[in-house]
Amino acid sequence: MMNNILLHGWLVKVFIILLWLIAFSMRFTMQDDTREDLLFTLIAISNFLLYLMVAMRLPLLTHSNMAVLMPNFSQKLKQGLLLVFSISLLPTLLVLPDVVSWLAFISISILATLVFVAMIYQPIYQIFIWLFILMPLPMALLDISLNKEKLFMTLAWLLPLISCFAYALLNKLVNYRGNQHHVSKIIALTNASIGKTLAVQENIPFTERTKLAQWWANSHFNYYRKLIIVATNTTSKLSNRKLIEISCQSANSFGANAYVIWSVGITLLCLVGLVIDEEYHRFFTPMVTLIPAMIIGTGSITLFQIIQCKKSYLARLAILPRFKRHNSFASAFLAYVFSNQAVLYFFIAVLLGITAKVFGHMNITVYMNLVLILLVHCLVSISIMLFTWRKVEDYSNPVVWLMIIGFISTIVFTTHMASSGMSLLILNGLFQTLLVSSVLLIIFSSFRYMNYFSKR
Amino acid sequence: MTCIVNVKNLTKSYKNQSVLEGLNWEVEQGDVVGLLGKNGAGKSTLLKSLLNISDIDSGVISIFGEQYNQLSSSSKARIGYVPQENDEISWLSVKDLISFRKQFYSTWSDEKVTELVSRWEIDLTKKIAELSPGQVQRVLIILALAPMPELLIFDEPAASLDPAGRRDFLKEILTLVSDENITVIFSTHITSDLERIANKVAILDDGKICYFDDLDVIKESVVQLTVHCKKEQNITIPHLLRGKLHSQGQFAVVSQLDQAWLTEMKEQDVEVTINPMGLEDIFLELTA
Repeated sequence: MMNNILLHGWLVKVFIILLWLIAFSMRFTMQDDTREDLLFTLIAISNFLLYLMVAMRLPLLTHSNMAVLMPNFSQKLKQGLLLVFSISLLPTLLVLPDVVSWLAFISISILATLVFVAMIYQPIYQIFIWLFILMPLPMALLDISLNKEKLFMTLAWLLPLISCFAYALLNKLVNYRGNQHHVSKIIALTNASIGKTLAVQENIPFTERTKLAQWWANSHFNYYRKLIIVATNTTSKLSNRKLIEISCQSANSFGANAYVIWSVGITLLCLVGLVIDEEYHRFFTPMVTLIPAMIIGTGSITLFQIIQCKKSYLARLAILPRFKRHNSFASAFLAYVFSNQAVLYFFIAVLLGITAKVFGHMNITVYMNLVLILLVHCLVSISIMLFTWRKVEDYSNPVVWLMIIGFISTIVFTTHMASSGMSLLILNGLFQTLLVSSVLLIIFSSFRYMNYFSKR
Repeated sequence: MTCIVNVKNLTKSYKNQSVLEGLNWEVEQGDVVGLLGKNGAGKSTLLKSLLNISDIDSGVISIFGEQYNQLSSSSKARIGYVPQENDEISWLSVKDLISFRKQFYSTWSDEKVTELVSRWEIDLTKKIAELSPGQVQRVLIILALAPMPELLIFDEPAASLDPAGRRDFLKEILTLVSDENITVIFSTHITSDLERIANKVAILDDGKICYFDDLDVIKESVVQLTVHCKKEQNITIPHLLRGKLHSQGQFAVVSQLDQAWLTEMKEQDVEVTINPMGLEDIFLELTA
């Protein structure tokens, strides 16, 4: 039962097992070592996802009132965690090519688990994630070259030390309180289903947010406040689309400030890329891969959750006299959603183009393929959102998981595409079918959405 | 009698605001103690501190003779606790939650669970989030009773229960406490519940247990007096909590009825009428 709680969520479990199965099939069909990096990425993503899931569930157990009262609780929790960790290493044993890689992977897994658990209990430890993302920067600046074999050998030898350290921390885990405010937030998030995470965040009182979060939300809302003030003080009226856009804003929206911050960050990164020697560019690949994934994640999942939370509010808005013309609300709403997502995906396409040009981690063919995959991804995710929004039943949980799985699959497929030297996807019959299907899907979902409003 | 809970000089504050100040308390085996206190008096804090759920600033707490924060597994297994706020995992079904808890206790009684689940009509397949507050409270009570504990601590157990549920819960506690080994501490605002099952009352005020005695003793000690004097005279009433002058005489509430003073008054030809008070009025007078 302890492990059932730690591993709660069937969709993510299915996805992890699927990734393991893909890794197995690749291992057993692989003729040479050319795709070993992809194999390593696959197994790392699946295991890290598992560790993150377990880390997020942990406070539900350790911070429960009963944790200190249940006999042998810490012992049973330790057993549960060790069992999950051991099981997660079995696919690694079958997939990775040699003992050194395997031992190194165990070290990496333990370190990753420690970081995930630490950042769940103390937000300050999120710095490790940023250090990992930004690691190439000091390495390039200090002219430190990274030898994969040496690194793996060191990690393999360090395994006993890392294991002892991890075991000592594990013993302290049950009584560790961490940052109570942050842990309460995590508990609220994990106690809610993933589809409701935004609603939980929205419920945090404004004054209880960090100063940065308050500034972020205020600067975002200021733009819309100004729009309302201008519309009130002048004769120019807000368009239907703009009105819906204003109604769909939240403290967590991905707005203009987010685009500015990300643009500044990417520009700085590219400037560093232009200054440093080309031989260090490859170290930036994880960073320039993760950033677009993070932007899509926050940009599209947040939009979906905000609208899902505001469904009843939007339904009230739809009966305003200004929307009395047939389908005027649905068409304005669709215009808002399409434009919002188009801007997001266009931004990512530009970002990918610039980073590809600077860091050279993908050639023009891979870039073109990636843009096409993003296009399909965009069309499919909007279609899924539209199908879900028009339903009375709440399907936000599986939809958010589907979207997360979609992003991860895209990253895995892109890594595979880059390493396998795949030709232009647009010339591929299977992809052409996929593209046409996604176009048909979005037309169908838009039509169904319009139809849903016209019947009301 | 064996001392089950022993608290010495317990101090606890939140953000520089003192909640418990040098609190001393001893609960003996077989006691059924009702803990009364105003809102914010620190009842929940005290109960959580006893169980090491909440940190303390200073003081010594022992439960079953062991230090509260170093309880052995066997001692932990002898404690049942129902918190005021439900913090159980909301997406677990009642059945799963019961199985989760069961794995920790060797003394777990499936018969007790089955009996209470059927009597309180709890749907085992429902998730905790889908239950009403009253149903959640019942589940928490079942979870606390199932390991057959020797020390039961309830933090406002009947707050979310309907009258029928409350009656049933009290009946269950009465059956349990008929076994002399069981000690119960429960905080409540409902004094009628307390009067039905408690044999001792503890009143928490100003960060201390200001009154702790048998229910009968407290009812005999804290009384309302009406004093009639035949001639004008100054009367000093010992242990006076509150007093008023009326045309008929003096109306007073005392925290302890002094028999010597009563005899003295009789000798002075002063008529003193003793009016017993309800527990709710006693609580209000003692914490006024």
